[in-house]
Amino acid sequence: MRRLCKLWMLILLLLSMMTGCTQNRREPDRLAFDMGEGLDLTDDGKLEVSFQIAIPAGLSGGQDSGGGGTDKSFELTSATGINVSDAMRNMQKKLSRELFPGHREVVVIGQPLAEKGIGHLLDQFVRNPRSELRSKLFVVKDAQAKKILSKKSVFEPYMSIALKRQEDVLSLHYMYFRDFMADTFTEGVHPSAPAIALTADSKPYYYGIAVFNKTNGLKLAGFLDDQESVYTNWMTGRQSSFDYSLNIAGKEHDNISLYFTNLEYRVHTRIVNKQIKVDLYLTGSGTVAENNTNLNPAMRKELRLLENIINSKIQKEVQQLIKKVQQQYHSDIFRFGEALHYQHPRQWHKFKGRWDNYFSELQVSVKVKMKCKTPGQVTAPVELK
Amino acid sequence: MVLSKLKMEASNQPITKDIDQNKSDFKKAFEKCSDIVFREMNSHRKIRILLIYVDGMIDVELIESNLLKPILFEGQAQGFGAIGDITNMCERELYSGLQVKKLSDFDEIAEHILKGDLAILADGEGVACVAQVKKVPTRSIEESTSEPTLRGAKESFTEDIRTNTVLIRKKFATTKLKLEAIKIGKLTKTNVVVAYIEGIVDPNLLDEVLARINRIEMDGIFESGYIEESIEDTHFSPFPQMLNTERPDVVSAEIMEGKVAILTDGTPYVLVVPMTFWSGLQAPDDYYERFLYVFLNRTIRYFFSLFSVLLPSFYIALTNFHQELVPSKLMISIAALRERAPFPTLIEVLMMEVMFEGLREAGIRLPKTIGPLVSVVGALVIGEAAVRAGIISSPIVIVVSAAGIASFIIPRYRFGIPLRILRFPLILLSGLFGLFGLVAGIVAILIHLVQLRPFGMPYLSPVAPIAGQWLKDWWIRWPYKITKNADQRRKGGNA
Repeated sequence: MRRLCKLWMLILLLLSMMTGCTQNRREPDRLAFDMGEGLDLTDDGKLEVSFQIAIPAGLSGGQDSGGGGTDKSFELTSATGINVSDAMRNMQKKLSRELFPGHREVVVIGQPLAEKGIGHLLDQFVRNPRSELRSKLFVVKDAQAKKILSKKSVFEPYMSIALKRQEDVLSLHYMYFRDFMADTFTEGVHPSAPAIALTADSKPYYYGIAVFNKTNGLKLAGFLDDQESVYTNWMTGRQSSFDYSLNIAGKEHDNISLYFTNLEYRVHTRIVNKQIKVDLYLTGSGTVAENNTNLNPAMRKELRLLENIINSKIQKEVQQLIKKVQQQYHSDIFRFGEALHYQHPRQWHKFKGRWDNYFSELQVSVKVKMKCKTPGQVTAPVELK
Repeated sequence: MVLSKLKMEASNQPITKDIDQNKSDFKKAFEKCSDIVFREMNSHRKIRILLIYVDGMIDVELIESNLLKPILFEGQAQGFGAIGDITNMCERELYSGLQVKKLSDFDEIAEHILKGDLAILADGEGVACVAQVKKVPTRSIEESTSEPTLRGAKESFTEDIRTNTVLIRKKFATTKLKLEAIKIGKLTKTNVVVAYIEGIVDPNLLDEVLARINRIEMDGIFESGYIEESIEDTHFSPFPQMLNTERPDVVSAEIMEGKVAILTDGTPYVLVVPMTFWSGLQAPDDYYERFLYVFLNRTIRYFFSLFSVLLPSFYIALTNFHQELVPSKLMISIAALRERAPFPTLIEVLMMEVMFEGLREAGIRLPKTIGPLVSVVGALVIGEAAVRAGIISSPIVIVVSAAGIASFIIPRYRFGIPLRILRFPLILLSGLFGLFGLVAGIVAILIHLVQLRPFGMPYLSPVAPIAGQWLKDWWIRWPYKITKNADQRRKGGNA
């Protein structure tokens, strides 16, 4: 009996501590699930937040349990406000269910707002306990965010899930909101985010990378296109494979396509005579996917030749990319500053104040070493007779 | 028991030498007992003898051929010299194949008669010869109904304790197997046999068991449950503190591990003490099937028993408090299925749980012929109609029935009961306080489990506290070649 008393004492003690929890009880049918948020700048310069709200009854399709009788899977509604929380509050006035951001898959930022700077908007996303830090961040090129979110995806019920799946298919690592925040607060790094754009017939597609510069209110500095973003992701460890096609010897039909996997990178920084030198090593292994040249990848010699062509081409392109970012955007999205910080922690303080200047002047030598491991399922090129 | 007002006094009166006096004494004692037979006859030497027995409990044929014929017609066999009295003759000569006792105490003789013995009284002799010629109608040995296995012995215990001891004894060819007999119950004088293996059993445990059994003061013992409730450590734990089984192979294996078995006359269910949490989750086939298969089976079983306790409460906590923990698509689906549901999730789950328990109980009580009806009605009415009518949302049906099925995966049916009982407080806790309440409930259960020490054995052993060698049979039952320890322990014990 004494034990029993102890047990009850314990239960009562725990119960008394839990009295606050009951108010948190929310039935799922009292919630408006926010699947994605879009941040935009209205024409008169106000912040407009668009919420992609799931309509559960529309999702269940032909089942008799869904009572709503609607076939829409989501509703996109927008509200303006002085900041995100204010917009959310204004949004709540339009909804009969409690806005629930716990399942927010993506946060999409329109280009006008990104150009104006998003530094003053980020606080809510990390501070609000109801916020979801695992939302993925996207920037829309040449459009408002709500334009993307209002589109219907071919496969997915919500465009927000489609954006996330798109990154999966391209074997990109997710750019979570928290990663973006971490980059913002890391010395010697400027944040970047995946960018999407709309095709001529207004279908969203993966464009590349949006480069931000955090020195002045986290403004959009520019975009990098598809191929450039592959290299950038490779150099920062965000991508593990990519497809690569190139012309050999300048002839129109002499082209070859490879599928590269096991992408590795290594950044080595040196300080020589107060000059910073960066050595960038890029490695990976490839499989020949299509071969329209007369090279036979099964022959060791010809394979080496092929590898050399590819290495020098990639090397040249990466050099160009680094130069472009150094001179146009002045934003170290390649994390060279971070590497220097880690590899020379004692000297870092000398550079960190003016790292953006140093970055623009940085001498980067790129060494690319790709290996063609497999020639594909056939050896010699297909010869037409 | 209320019956205790009946005074059961042992008189210790010896019987007299006068057969008439004895007869009237017994007649008086057995007054209004219509099933007691008194048969008087003369032996071939013209000595009056009196047979007393319970009609229907003795083997009449055996008496006719082995007993009455020699006494009435043949007399004493040649070569034995003079035997003075009938009882001696009976004991030493005639019934060599039977168990025969000479008794002079009146009450003792009466008790033997009532237990199915035949009492022979002869004129001029102050002792009675009591012969065991019991032949009571019993059920034959049948297949176990409550603990079926795919592999292993099919036999199960019966209501007759002698049959049951035989079922154990025949498995052991050792004198170390002890079957201590105790009689308990003032009115029933039920035979209880305590079985153990000397040298393996912990003497302290044995003493404790015997002491607790001897301390029982009840008028009647009709099932091992009476004993279980009288000797268990605490009545207020939902967990059973001793195993009950109707399988001789389980009992034999358990006593070989140093446990004590308590057999009760009149019931096929044998108690094994002490019990641990894990033995409630082990099946007899665990030791008969190959080890890899057993390992996977046990994994499933352990997993499902957790499932059985936690699933409904976990579901409530997630959908009502922590929607962000559920994958987005699933959460939207659940929300979609709940669109029409009129009741809160907590009420829905409680309703379905109570309904499920009702169906289960109805399934046990109904006569076998209309048993299937319950499952049909249950599946149709509750599974289909309630969802279609929009009274219950369909995830609840899935959750409750999955948890219900999971509780039946437990090989010892009675061990599933505490898991089902504990489901209810956990449902309430998580319905009111979310995951925090659920975790608090689990902690309370764990505290209770580590405190529980039936007969001094920690309930969670060998896991808490860790007992190295026995861990080899906790989750993975390692092949016998690998678990030599247990064998060595056995050998050490026997030496």
